[in-house]
Amino acid sequence: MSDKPEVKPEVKPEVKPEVKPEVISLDNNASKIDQSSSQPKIKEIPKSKGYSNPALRAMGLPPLRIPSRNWMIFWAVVSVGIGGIAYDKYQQTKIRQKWCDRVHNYSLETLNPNEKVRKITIFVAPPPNSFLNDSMYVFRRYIKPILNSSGVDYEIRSENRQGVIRSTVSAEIRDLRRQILIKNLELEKLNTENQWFNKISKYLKSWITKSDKVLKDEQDYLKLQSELKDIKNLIGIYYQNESLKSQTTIYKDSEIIEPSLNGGVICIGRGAYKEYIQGIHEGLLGPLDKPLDDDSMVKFNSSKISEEKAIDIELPPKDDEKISLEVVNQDKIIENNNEDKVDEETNLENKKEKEEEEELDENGEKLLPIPKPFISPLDYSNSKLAPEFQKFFDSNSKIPTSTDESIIFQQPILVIPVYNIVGFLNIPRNIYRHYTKRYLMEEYGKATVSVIEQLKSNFNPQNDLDLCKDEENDWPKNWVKKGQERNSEWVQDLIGDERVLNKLWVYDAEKVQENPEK
Amino acid sequence: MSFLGLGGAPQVSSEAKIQAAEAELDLVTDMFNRLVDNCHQKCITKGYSEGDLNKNESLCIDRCVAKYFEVNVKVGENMQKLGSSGAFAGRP
Repeated sequence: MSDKPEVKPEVKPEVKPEVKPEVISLDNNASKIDQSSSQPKIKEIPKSKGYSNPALRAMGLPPLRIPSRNWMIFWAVVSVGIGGIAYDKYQQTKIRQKWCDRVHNYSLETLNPNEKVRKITIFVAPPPNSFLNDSMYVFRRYIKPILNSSGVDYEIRSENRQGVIRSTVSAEIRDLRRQILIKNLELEKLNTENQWFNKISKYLKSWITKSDKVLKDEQDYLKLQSELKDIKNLIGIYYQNESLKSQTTIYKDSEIIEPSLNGGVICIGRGAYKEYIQGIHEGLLGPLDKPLDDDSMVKFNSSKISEEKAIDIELPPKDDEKISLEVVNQDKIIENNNEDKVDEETNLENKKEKEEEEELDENGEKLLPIPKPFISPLDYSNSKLAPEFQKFFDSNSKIPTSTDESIIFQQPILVIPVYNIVGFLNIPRNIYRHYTKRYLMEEYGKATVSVIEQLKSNFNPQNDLDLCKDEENDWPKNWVKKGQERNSEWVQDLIGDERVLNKLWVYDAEKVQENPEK
Repeated sequence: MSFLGLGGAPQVSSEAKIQAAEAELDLVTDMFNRLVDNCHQKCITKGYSEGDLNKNESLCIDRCVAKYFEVNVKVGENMQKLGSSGAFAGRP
């Protein structure tokens, strides 16, 4: 480049006088020629004169000229950078609006004050080596607007430490199993009582009604007092509105018989999904009570052995013993005082351990330790599938809960990946992703719509355990290594049991049709 | 007055009781009215095209009320802490 001006003047020195009068010309090329020819020996390039006219000059405006090459490069880079983001954002809002509009009609149905809509449970786990906020961002930006516009209620269950989702899900399932056990026992009791004491109970009932009359005054007084305590009797729409007050809460989902058409589950992050699946297995296949630890197992076994030796019975292998302990059924609750004793002991020991292991959270409050899984994935195939639920599995009906909505594992699952890549060397990939978020919006929006429209398919035990597995490529290597050392649940392969997996459902985004009207 | 210390706490006059109750009711009513105002403004579309609430509106109200109460309780607790720690001592 720098050679050119030196060569040019030698080639056409005669042009010089011809061009000179045209110096005022607005053409850029002309001025360039002028520059090179007028000052052949000095390399300095004079500023172009730019465009001006008398009107502009009269207003005191400087001549307009194109900025220099460097400035042009600078502005081009800046405007492409900003423009790319702006375009991406604009497209995102358009896509979001598209999905929101699509599901908006569902929210226009009327709802009485005593009714509750379908509720979706959302499990959120933070991505590895990062904060919960990153996953919440995915929820807030891509999913929440669509849920909000569709008139679906949701409940977020998040965790800050690994294992919280797993343990809460399994505890919930175990709770339900226990409730059903208790209910069955009570029913049996009632039946026997009815058989034996039919006449007596009738007599008792009549006696109770008599005594009621005596106590009426007192009851009136108590009623008055309790009325004063409840705010519904003093203020608001319930005040002096008996018909409203007498209405009970109706869960809309309780009217739907098919269990997989109730509620819904969204797992945000592969980790949350893994924990959720493991929690379901733990709840369905694991024992109802906390299994014994290794030390106490040895103690327990030795005590059993000594007893059994005395009676001279063949010893069962230890593994079987463990399983028989883990599969808790009615018999165990009623009999086996031995086991109860040991359980108490272990509980005490656990308490001690808990006190030692307690960590501190941000506020300096003590965090409870997360309970270990009651059953390891290797024992899945050896244990019974929740015998309490068998009746409901056979008839493929809802398992009765307090709200008459189906239990969480009967609801279909949607997994939303959280692509979160960290590290200095990954900055280029991060930048690329930042400019292409609209595709995520499209994908997530579609998936969310499949939840709202309840487009589900059976859980495929071969493939569906690997839902969003590509997210794991983003997990930092160091973190994975550390997790493997610590035996973290996240970095291990997800193992499922076919009996459980066949009961599950997933939402299928591919069933979402782009334009249902057409 | 109590016989062998079985009389219980000293009795507050009924007038003071009524006053306290009135003050409390005032507080509750005030909070309730604010809550209704806020949540009405936030959640209910002003067109009033329908007599009944739709799903979005009722969900919004649910959340609005829940949040209002939660914040109210939190602020109350904090104020009490401040009050008991004497941070306001000497100030009106």
